[in-house]
Amino acid sequence: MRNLLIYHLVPFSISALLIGFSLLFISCLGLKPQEIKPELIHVSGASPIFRGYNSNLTTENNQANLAFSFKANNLTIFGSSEFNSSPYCPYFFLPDSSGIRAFGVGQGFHQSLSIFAECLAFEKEIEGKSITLILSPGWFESNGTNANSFIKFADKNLLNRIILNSNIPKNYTEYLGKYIYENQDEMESLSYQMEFLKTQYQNKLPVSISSLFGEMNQKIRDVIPVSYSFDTVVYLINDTSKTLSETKENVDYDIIEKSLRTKFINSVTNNPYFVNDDYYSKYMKGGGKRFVKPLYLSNNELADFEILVDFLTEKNVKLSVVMQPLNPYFYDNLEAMNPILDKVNSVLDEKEIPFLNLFTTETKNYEPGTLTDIMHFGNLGWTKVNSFLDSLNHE
Amino acid sequence: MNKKRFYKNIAIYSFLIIGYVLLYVVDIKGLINPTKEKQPKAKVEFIYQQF
Repeated sequence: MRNLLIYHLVPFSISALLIGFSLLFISCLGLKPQEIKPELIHVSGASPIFRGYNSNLTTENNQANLAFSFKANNLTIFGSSEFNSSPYCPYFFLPDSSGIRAFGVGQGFHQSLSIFAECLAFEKEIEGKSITLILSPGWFESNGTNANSFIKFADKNLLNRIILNSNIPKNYTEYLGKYIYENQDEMESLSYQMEFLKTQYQNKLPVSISSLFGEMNQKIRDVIPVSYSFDTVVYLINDTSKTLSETKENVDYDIIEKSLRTKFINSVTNNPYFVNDDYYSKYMKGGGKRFVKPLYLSNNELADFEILVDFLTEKNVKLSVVMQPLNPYFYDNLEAMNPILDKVNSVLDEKEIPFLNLFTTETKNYEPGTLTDIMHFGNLGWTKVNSFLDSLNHE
Repeated sequence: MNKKRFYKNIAIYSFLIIGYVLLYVVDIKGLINPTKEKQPKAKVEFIYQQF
């Protein structure tokens, strides 16, 4: 016992004190910048985007396209894997047929949290603009955004803009920090921006042994002169797009829907699910129906969606929301989704946000062709969305 | 008391604490190359599949 004290505890304490004093000395030298000094990166150029979509915002060009979309008062549409190059997608159809400029951002796994981060990054630009969210019921089956997708969609430029924007209320940035903190085990490494947001959230946590340890580590980081290097990106855009004709056509959506419905039904020849033939042959042949497991209201995706809606309404965004269906010919027990979808409905209802809910649990209420497969809009579904958005955005 | 052993242990513990600080607390790669951007990476990469 005496040996342990003399040869281990005392030397360890002396070592810790020596290193502590050394760090204190380094901190007195003031090598670490006390505040973040943003460097501005200007992304400039002409953006012709008044129709079309980008899969993500991982390039400066795509980020500038979104900035332009807000600046030009386009209808901006956020969605996920249903986005494709069909001329019936609203970011093509509405500019081409109704004179409503529209731009989309979406790709598989682009869910509420990623959209929230993107909207936070454009906090000033979204004020009073028109935004549509295309939701997929499948988002609520997952436990929110996965770490890989968050890393992919929350680009460093976007996080820089969030960190350096003091107008964003702390509860929103801390929400991102909470996600990073809770999912750090899923991440091999964090960027400086993500570390910053995580630490900001961690500092709010009640004191515990682990938080004390984390705080000690942070204090050490604070005195070492390896600094976070944050740049803020400024998008300077010249609007060189053509001005759309003021004369807007009156589109007869009923005729288009009728024609698309018939065309789709006639095209399905190899399955009873009203899924396009190629999709059935490639992904479904030989398999059975899919059973939906019960969903609970304590759902990360629902929480992400609620904070996104809160933020957008706070910014006076003219928000509209569309819920895609799941194919009831293929899915069993779709009623399991009702509690979550009822909650989504009540959140939107409370804030009087226009909501096109195409989800249904019964085949009798589902129009074949609304989806081209089991979960992605087909041309008929897009036409229903176009009709809804046209009625909201047509002046 | 064996003074040699005592001082040797102080050196060992100092070395271990400095090693911990450099490797796990302040990110030694960042110290060596402070301008290099730190790339975030997930442990599991999701590949989007239709089904």
